[in-house]
Amino acid sequence: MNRRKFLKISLASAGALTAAACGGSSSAAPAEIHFGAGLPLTGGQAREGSLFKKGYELAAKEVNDTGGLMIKEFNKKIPVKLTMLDDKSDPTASVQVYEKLATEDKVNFFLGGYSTPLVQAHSIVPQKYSIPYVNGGGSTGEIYQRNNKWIFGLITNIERLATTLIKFIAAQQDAGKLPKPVKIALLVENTSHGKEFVKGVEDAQKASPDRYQVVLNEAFELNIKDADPLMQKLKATNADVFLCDARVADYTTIHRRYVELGLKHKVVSYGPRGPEKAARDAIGAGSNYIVAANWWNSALVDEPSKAFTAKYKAAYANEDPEWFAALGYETARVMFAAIEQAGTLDKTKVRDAIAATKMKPSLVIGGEVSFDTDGQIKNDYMMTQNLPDGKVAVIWPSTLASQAAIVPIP
Amino acid sequence: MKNRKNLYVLGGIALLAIIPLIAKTIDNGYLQTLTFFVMMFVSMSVAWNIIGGYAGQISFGHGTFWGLGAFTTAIFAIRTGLPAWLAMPIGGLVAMLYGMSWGYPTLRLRGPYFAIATIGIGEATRLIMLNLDQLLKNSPLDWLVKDKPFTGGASGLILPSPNDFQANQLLLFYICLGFMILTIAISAWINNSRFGLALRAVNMDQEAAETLGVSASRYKVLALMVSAFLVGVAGSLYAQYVLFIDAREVFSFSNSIAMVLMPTVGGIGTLWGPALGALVFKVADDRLSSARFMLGGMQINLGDVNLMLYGLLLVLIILFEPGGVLGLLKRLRKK
Repeated sequence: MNRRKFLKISLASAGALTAAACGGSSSAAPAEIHFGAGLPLTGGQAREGSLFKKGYELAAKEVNDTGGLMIKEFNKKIPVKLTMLDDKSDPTASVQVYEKLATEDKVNFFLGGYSTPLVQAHSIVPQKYSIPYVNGGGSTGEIYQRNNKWIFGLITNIERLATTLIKFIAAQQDAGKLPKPVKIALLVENTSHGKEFVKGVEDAQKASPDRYQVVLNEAFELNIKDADPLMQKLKATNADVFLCDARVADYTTIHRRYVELGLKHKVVSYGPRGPEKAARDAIGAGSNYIVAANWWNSALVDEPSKAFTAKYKAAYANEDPEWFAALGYETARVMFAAIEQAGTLDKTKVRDAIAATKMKPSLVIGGEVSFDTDGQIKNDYMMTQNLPDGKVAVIWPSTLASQAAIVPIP
Repeated sequence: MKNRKNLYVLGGIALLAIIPLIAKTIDNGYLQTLTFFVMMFVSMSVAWNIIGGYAGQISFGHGTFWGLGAFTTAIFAIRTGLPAWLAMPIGGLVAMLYGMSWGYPTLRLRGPYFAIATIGIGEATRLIMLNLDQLLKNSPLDWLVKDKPFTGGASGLILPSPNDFQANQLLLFYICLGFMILTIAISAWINNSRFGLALRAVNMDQEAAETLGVSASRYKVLALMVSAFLVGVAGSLYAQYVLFIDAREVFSFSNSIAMVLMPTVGGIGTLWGPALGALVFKVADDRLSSARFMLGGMQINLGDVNLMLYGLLLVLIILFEPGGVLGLLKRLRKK
């Protein structure tokens, strides 16, 4: 090889290398966009975790059926890939799972976990690796008050849940269905979820002592085995309204004992729980007329809810969707929409797009997803009431209600 | 023979020391995270073995030491901004003092009664820590919870975030490596010392040991204190790595169970068995959690049967190889 030829080849090679270094990475579109989620697929919250998984899978399938997400930077549609790992309903494992997704699976974006304590534990990981994270399973406001710019939550805080119940009670008082002041018995799980619930009710009592009087305020540990001591205390209070903040398993255990003891109140609520099929099957007719303040329910008849319910039933053997699946689906949709809006897979730009999200129509109550400056949505709750034969009616707010609430419980 | 053993140990340390570099080279940061947790579990397992293996006092309450170390670190970090190197020994000291306080009365119990007592202590500690903020309210110690949560109760505590997460993680990795080496060195020293001989004598026959002048209670309490200190330091490291702790999790019974299982699987009462047990426990747990395969058209997720497999391993070890994995390896080597 002569000198000139060598020089030509060298220059060409250098040029090619420079081009590859400068522009190669930005023009090469990845084969897929990788999303990672850590969910409780075994352990105490396995049922709820598997419903979130179904929601994520449905949203991903929907996108992939159209060819993927349209990314302007690459001017093409890129399919999405989901990696969902089991955190065994354990906070330590949940941190490790998200670490693994970030560093071993190298996901582009995170989809959130469930429930509040697990989200609280792993919510540091998105900040650590600067990976955008959207969840529909962590409700306590504390998660979002850490100045963590990478996490976003699609379910509003528990204090608002308590406030919604209080507003509902006030409306019943005004309609002459409940006394003034109404005696409220409060039982809550000993978690930040429960603490926020108590705060919401206590704040209402302070603001309107003429309307509300808390006669019992007790906390219980998660996964309660014997609800009898709590029920005996409840019985002794002679309260008008029984409000309890509990997970599905505890709701089932407590209310079974409640029914066995023949207790009765004018209004009974287990916070966000009530219409879950598994719990109603276990409790039987005793679960009728329980009211619940929730983030979504398949009894909603607005267009997005009807469309989602139909899609979900078609995908999962006519199974009735619960809010866990709906919020999972919506979480993924919000993330997908933000990525398309950003037009790039750049994490910071996607994070900014999520923060600026104004997505409608949506399954969330109010019909629009937008995040507050702390990253949490601040919308309203809806309320349902269990009816005989496993039916559920939407009773609050009036704009969504399918019928008036039955108060006092017959 | 001894030189070769030393060579293995040095080789192992060198390999661990370059794990962050390897992780960076192969572009898999999780290797560093997993190694950190393995080293932390090795330290906890080796530390438990001092009281459970050498002295034969099976403690199901070591989760309390781990939790106290974590909480002491978190409380100091939130209230004073204490640096990691100072928070660790303080976490260990608090755990040690706590161990001493219940060790004195309970270590006088014989047979299974000590083990049963530790279960009660573990559960009581968890509930106290979970409700401590509530208990302190309107008490003479109300000032502790006036402006900031003390244990955070059910909400847990969030530690201040470091300015540079990656640098902080690397620093904690090397601190954990150093701590693991120190824990094994302490265990090795105890194993070969007069103190260790006294513990083994108590383990074999307490009455006979006492007739020979060994103060069983004193040695057992001392062993518990050393063990508690080391587990407390591990808890401190955990809190600094994860940056969020809550009482339900760090004081959970499953942590105490893990500390009993790891040495049992590896080889209880030996120097290297507990370390080996922790390695098997943590790596198997981690790898199995995401492993899946197809069987007759059905997807089997090994994470679902993870505990069953581990339980099976434990039963097999107890039935056929009481010396644990280390005993099995020794037997295979002899053949």
